[in-house]
Amino acid sequence: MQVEEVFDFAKLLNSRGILLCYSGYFSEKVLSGLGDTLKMKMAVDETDLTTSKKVFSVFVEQAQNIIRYSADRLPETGGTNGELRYGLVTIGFDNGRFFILGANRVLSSDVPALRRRLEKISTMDKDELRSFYKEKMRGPVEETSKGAGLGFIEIARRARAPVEFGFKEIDDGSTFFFLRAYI
Amino acid sequence: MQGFRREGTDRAPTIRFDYVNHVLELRGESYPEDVSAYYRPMFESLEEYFRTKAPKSLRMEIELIYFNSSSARVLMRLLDMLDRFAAGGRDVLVNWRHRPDDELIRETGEEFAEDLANLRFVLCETA
Repeated sequence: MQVEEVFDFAKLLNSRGILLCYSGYFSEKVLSGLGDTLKMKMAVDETDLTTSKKVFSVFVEQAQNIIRYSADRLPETGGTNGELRYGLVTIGFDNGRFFILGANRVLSSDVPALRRRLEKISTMDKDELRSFYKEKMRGPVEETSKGAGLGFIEIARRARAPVEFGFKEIDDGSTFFFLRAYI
Repeated sequence: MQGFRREGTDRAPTIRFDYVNHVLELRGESYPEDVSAYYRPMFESLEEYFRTKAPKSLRMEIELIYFNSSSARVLMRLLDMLDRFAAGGRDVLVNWRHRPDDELIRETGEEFAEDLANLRFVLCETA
């Protein structure tokens, strides 16, 4: 890469209000490091407590979704202490709003169910999300879910507008997925 | 059994259960890598405490700064367990502590409280 190319890339990120951008293999330590940096940045900017907690919360759920569900992964070996899964997280500030974007590959066969869950959540108002969250907090863990299956509802509850999401089929069996929430 | 203790990290809460004075404390942040593995020993200990000591009254102090959605599920399980214990005629007090300006933790506490019929659940502002 020549310097112009690097400069243009940096300029692009800057013009989109990106505070933090990570693309690569995720581990729990990456999550911790990015999370601490995000907290420090919001403390320096004196972001109010509720906003900074919402941003942090959505970041954690997005990062943990990648760590648990990205279809792009390296197998577990002795040295890695768990699988490494590939994904992208960016956090930015634009027009007075924070946004947190998460993206990763998913299995195309998982897309219909994922799309249904997100479409359902994105049409719910705050009270419906609250009830749905409470129902899921006690209900059985969804089959494909290693976490509580609550992550998407948590993200939608913290967001100030319906979450944005999309899918793009890449090749045989794998689909690029993104989810963005505004705080 | 005198109690159960687990020192927290920056991503997992400190757990201090005192089975002599019947005060149970949970403080810190909760988004550990493996939520089930972190809390399993705590639940096992608590079950044994209820079974063997059967305290007439107990107090639980919960002061969490942040917890993720997987931890919320664990908290609900913990509170349900305390509520069932209270249903058996025991006096169970839960103090849910939050900073005065922390709307999210307060709201979450209110949501938990709605579904607990037997224990006393008190929202407390910390200094």
